[in-house]
Amino acid sequence: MTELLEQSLTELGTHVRFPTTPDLSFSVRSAIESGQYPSGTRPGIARGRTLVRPYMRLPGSFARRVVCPALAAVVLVGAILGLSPAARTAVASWFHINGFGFSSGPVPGPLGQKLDLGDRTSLAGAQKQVSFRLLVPTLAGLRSPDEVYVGSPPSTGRVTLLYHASMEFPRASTTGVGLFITEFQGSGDPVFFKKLLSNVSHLDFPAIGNGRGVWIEGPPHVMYYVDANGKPLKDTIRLAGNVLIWQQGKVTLRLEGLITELRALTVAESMTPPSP
Amino acid sequence: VEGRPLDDNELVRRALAGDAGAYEELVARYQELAYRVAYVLAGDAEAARDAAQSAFIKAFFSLNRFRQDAPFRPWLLKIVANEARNQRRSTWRRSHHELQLAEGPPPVDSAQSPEGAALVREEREALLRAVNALSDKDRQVIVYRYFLDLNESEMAAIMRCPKGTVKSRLSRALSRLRAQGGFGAGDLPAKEAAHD
Repeated sequence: MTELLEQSLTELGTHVRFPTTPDLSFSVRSAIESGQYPSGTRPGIARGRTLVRPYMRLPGSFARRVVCPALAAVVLVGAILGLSPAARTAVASWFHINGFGFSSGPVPGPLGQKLDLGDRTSLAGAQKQVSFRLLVPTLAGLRSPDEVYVGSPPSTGRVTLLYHASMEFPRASTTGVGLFITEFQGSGDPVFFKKLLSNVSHLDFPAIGNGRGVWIEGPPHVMYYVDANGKPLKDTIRLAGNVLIWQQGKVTLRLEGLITELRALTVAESMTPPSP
Repeated sequence: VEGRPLDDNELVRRALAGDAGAYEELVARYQELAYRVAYVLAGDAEAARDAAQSAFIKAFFSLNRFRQDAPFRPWLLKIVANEARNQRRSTWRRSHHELQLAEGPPPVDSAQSPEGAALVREEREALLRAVNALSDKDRQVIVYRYFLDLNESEMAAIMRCPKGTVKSRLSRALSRLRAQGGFGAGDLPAKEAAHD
């Protein structure tokens, strides 16, 4: 009897109608190439909406939107995901399309000790020196940075908001400070955003606003700026800690500190132009 | 990827070595199964598409954690099932959906009469109604086993339980289906089909 029922169910299965399967090959590949790693929902950050709808909101080019300063590129030689060397190769080859790639190899020069932030100024002073609208966190304790700097590259200016170490933002061994946020304006120039992959860290592509960012967490990785030809700029090579990079309007932002991804995202979502 | 079809694990090895086409082949090979499993769990076509797509992306980034001496399908389907559950939770979509019979063409190469064909269809509809009337868990285990032709390892991965539990849950689901549908041997379409 049960056997007959099973036969009937098997036969029935060949006549059951499922919705037509969509072709996922292109969208999956596009998402992987674009860095659309689905990180799931994030209560409090997502404000209840679904973050993982990559097929709906695949950007034309993640690299152009997220990582595109004018004449310089930020190159992060860092850690990712615990991928094996073979997987790194795979990821690198996939991500290299659209100017977004990973690299491997030795650190391209001696590590510097300085943060190379530029000249110290005030928020108002910084705003006068750059063409883009500055953004500051609106979270309590972060509205007024302890120090503000303007530097280059890129030639259009780069502003850094620096916060001293505190209970909430402990001193990071890589920077000696609690938190800093760097802002600069992208121009659409192609930029290579590369990482030296290792097996010990975590990489995520969380949703921020209407786009996505890159979160790198784990042991310190090396970052440096490169010139228009992609050559590392001397004295900019240094170790970096947990980093979140994202795009807000025309401004590319980079947040670094000894904090969790959730905390970094909370800070990122609070960024708005400062009150006059 | 050219020549004879490569097995799953060879495609995984090639994907890990940087062959983007190899992973695309895996996606093409399993997108229908992944989508249907997601559909059974999420209960919604749009959510199933989201879940299946997310699962393939996550699986790619997790390939280094895949044991290459293990079968690929259960590993993939486990990720698919997790994504489908996440979709269901995040979108508040109901998970219970009514499966329906396909509108197939009338048989042309069978000795079956039109009346016989109508009878078989009625019987299939009756059985499907009974399946649809089962609880989510019972219906899912029936669908996995008989409609999607999954093996116990694959079902265990999706259901997050040991294979022994899969067997017992399947057995209980069949018992409830039999009791609920009141199927006697003469009511089952397979009997008719066997006589075609």
